Amino acid sequence: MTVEVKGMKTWSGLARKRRRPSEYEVVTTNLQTRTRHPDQAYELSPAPLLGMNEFYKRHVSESPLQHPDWEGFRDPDEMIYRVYTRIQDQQEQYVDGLLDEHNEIGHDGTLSAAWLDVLERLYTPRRFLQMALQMGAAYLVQIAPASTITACAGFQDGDEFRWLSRCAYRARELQRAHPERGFGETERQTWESAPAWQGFRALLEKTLATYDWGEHFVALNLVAKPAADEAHRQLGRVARRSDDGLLGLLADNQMRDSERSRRWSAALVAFALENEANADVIRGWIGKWMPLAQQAVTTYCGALPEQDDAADAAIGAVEAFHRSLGLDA
Amino acid sequence: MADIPLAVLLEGDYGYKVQVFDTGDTMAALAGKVVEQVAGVLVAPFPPDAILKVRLQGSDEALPDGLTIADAGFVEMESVEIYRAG
Amino acid sequence: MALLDMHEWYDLTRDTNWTPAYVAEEELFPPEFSDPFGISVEQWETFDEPYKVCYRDYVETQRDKDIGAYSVKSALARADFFKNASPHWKALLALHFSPIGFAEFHSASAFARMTRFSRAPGMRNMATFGTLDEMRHGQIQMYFAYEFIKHDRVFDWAHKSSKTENWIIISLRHALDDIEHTRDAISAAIMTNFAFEQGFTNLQFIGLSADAAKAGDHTFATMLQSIQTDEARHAQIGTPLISIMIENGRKAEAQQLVDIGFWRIWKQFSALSGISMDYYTPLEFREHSLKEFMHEWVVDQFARNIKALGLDLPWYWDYFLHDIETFHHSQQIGVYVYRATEWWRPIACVSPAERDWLEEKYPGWNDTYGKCWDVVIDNIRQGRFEKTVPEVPPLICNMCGLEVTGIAGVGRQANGRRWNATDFHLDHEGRRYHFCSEPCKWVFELEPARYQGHRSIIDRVLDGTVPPGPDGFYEYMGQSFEERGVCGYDYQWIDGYDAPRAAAAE
Repeated sequence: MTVEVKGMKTWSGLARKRRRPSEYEVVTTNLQTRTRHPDQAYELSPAPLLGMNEFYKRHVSESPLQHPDWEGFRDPDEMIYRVYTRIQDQQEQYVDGLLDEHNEIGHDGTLSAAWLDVLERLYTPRRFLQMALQMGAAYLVQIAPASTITACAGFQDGDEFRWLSRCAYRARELQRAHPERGFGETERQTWESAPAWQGFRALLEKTLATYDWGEHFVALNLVAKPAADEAHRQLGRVARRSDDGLLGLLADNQMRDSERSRRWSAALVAFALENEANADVIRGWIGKWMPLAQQAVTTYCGALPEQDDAADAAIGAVEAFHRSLGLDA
Repeated sequence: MADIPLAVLLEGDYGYKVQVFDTGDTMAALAGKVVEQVAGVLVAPFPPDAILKVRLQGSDEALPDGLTIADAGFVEMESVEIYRAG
Repeated sequence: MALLDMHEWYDLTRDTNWTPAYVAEEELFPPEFSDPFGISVEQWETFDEPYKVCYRDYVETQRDKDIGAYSVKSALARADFFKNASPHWKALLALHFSPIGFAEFHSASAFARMTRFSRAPGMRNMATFGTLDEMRHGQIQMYFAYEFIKHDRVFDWAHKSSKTENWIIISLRHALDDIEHTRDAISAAIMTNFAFEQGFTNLQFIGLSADAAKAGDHTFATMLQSIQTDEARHAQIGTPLISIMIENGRKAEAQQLVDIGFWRIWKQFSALSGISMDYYTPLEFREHSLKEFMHEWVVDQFARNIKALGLDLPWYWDYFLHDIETFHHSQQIGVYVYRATEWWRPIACVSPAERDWLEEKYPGWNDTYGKCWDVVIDNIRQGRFEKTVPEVPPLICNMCGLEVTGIAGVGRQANGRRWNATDFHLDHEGRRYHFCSEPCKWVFELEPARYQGHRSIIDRVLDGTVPPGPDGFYEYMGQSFEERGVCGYDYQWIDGYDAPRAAAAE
C-alpha cells in the first residue's frame, strides 16, 4: 500500500558541509533565481528584448565586480527575520524608554536656543538623508546577486526606516515643545538649500543614481552610509556637550545598526576579494567616491558648534573602516 | 521526407499532445500514430470499425485520408484534431 | 507614558520627497522604473495607505507572531502530525512548500523596487514592511519544510526548486517575474498587491488553512493564517495607486494592469489551489470545493473591490467563471499521468467516493474528466501500469507554462459542454506560439517583446536544448532518478483507500 519514502539530513544544497547547518543557512542561502542566466535574469524574453533583463545584464552580469558564485556569501551575524524582529523590538523598547523618560522630565524645554538652532538646522532634516539611505538599501535588496546579500540589505532597509521614523518622531516632539520654530515644517527646505547639507545631498543623489550593483554597494555601504553615520555620531558627541543627552543616546543606538551594516559589508568585501581582480575595482570606487564624502562630512561638521575635530574624526573613522577591509595593495 | 512535430488532439482527450511525424505520413497514418499513443491511455480504445479522420483545428472538414502532411502544407506544430467520423 | 501617539507624528515619515539638484530627476527616478504614466509628484504624494503601522509597532507585533510558530511545542506537533499524515496530506504539503519558499523570498525584491523607485513616500515606507514581510514568509515556510526533510526528501525542493528548470517552476517563475519583477514600481504594485495579493492569496492561505484545521494540522493552519495577516497589510499598497491612476486619467491603464495580473495569477492558483482543494485534501477534511472557495473569497470579494475602486470586471470574466470549473480538473489529470516530471509523489484522488464528491460539486465531471480517468483506472486494474503514462508530451502554453487543455470526454454532455481543448496559437515574427486560452494569448499580444524570446519546456525539447535520451529530460529539469514522481498510493486507490485493488475480471 505505501510507497517507500526516504528522508535526508539537510538540504541537498547544504549537504557538502560536515557540521549541521545553522537556521540562517537553512532559510537564507542559495535562493536567488535571477542569477542563473547572465542575459535572462527573469523568466521572460532575454536581453535585449526585455528591458529589465537588459538592465540586470548590464548592471549585474557585466559589473566590474565579479565572482563565480556570489551565493557563497555569508552574513557574519547570520541575521534571520525572527531574530531581527526580536533584537529590534528590544532596541525599540529601549528607545521608547529614553523618549518617555526625557519627555517626562521636560527635556526639550531645557534645551538652549543655540542648541535648538542646531537641531533645526542639522538634526531633523536628517529624515531626508535617511530616506535616501533607505532607498539605497532597497536598491541593493533587488539588485544583489545572492539571496544572502539581499537579506542583509533587507534588514538594512528596515533599519534606515527605523531611524527615519525616530527622526520624524523627534521633529514632532520638538515642534510641540517649541511651536514658534520650524520643526516639522522647514526640514525639506533646509535639506534642499542649507549649505551644511548639500554635500550629503550630492553624495546620496549620485549614489542613488548609480546602478551598477557593485559600485552601488561600494558607494553606499562603504562610503556614503559610513560617512553619513559618522557625521551623525559627531552630532551626538556635540549634543552631549550641549546638554542634549537624549540625542547622544539615540545616536549611540543608531550606531549599533550602522555597525551591523559595516560587519556584513566588510564580509562581502572579504568574499569578493576571493577574486583578486576585485581589489582594484573596489579601491578604485572608494577612491572615486571618497572626495564627495569628505566634502559632505566637512561641510556638515563645519556647521556644528565647537566641533574643531568633528570632520577629521568622522573622516578618520571612515578611513579606518576602509583600512580594515583588507584592500591594501 | 523529414520530421515534423505537430500539436494533436484526439477526440475525448483532456488536452493537446505533441508528436513527431514524417512529412510523408498520410492523414490516415497520422491518425493511426496518434491513436496508438493516446487511445487506451487517456481515451477509451476505439472499436475496430471506427473511422477516424483528421481536420485542422477549427475546421469542420475532414482532410483526405491519403493526403500527406507535406501536401497538406502543415507548418511545424500545426494544431490538428483526430476525431471519430463513424 | 509620555510617548506620542503614532498618528501625531506619522505624517512626517511620509514627508520625504525632495527635488533632486545634483542628478537629473529622470536619472534618479527613471520613468521606466518609477512612473511611465507621467503623473505629477504632487499627485503621487496623495498616496494614503489605509492601514498605518510604524516601525516600532511592526517589530513588536511581528516578534510576537513568530514566538508561537517557532516554539518547541509547535515543532513537536508538526513532526507528530506529519509522521501520521496520509499520502494525500503529504502530497498537499509538498505541493505547497516546494515553490513557495523562494517565491516569497523573491517578492522581498519586488517590494524593494517599490521603495527605491516610487514617487509616493507612503508607498516607499509600506514597501519596506513588504520587503521584511516577504523575507519572513520565505524563511518561515522554508523552516517548516526543513523540519519535514528528515522524513521525506521531497521537501528538498523547498530549497532547490528555485534553481531548477522543472516545467512547473518555469511556469511559476514566468508568472511572478512578469507581474512582480520586470515592470515599473506602480505597475508591479497594482499587479502584485491588488490583483495577486488582494485577489488571490486568501484562497491558498485562508481557504487552505480551513482545510488544514479540519484535518487537524493546526500548526500549518496557524502558520498560513499568520502569514495572511501580514499580507493584508502590505497588499494595501495597490488600492491607493489605482485611485490615483483613475483620478489622473489613467483608468484604462489601471484596468489593463489589473486584467493582466489577475489572469496570470489565476492560472497559477488554479493549478496550485485547485489541485490542493479538490484533490489532495482528504475527502473528509474538505470544507468547500475550489469553485466554492473561489466564489466566496475571490469572485464576490474581488468583484466588490474592483467596482468600488471605479474599475470594471476584467473583460474575460465570463470565461474566467467557466475556467474555475474546468481548468484544474484537466491539469490534475496531466499532473498525475506525467507524474515522473514532478518531484513529489502525485496522487490521483479519484477513488469512487472522491468521484462522487467531484460529481456533486461539478455536475458532469464523470462524463468528462471521469472518462479519461476510467481509462487510467482500467489500465491499473489490468496491471498495465506503464499504460497510465503517455509516451508523448503535452502541449504547453507559451504564457502560463501549463498544459493546453479543455474539457475531456466524447460528445456533448448533459450540461451542454463538450470536448473542447483549443490551441490558441499565434504566429509572430516567424515563430508559432501556443496558448491555453484567449486571455493568455491576449497578454502576449499586448507586449510581444516581453514574451517572444522565452521558450517553453516543449520548445526546449523540440529545439534540442533539452538533451535527448530517456534521462535527458529529467536531468534538465533537475530531477535525479529518485526525484521522479511515482503514484503516491502505488496504484492502491482505484477501489478506495481501504479496499485493496480488485483484480481484473477474468
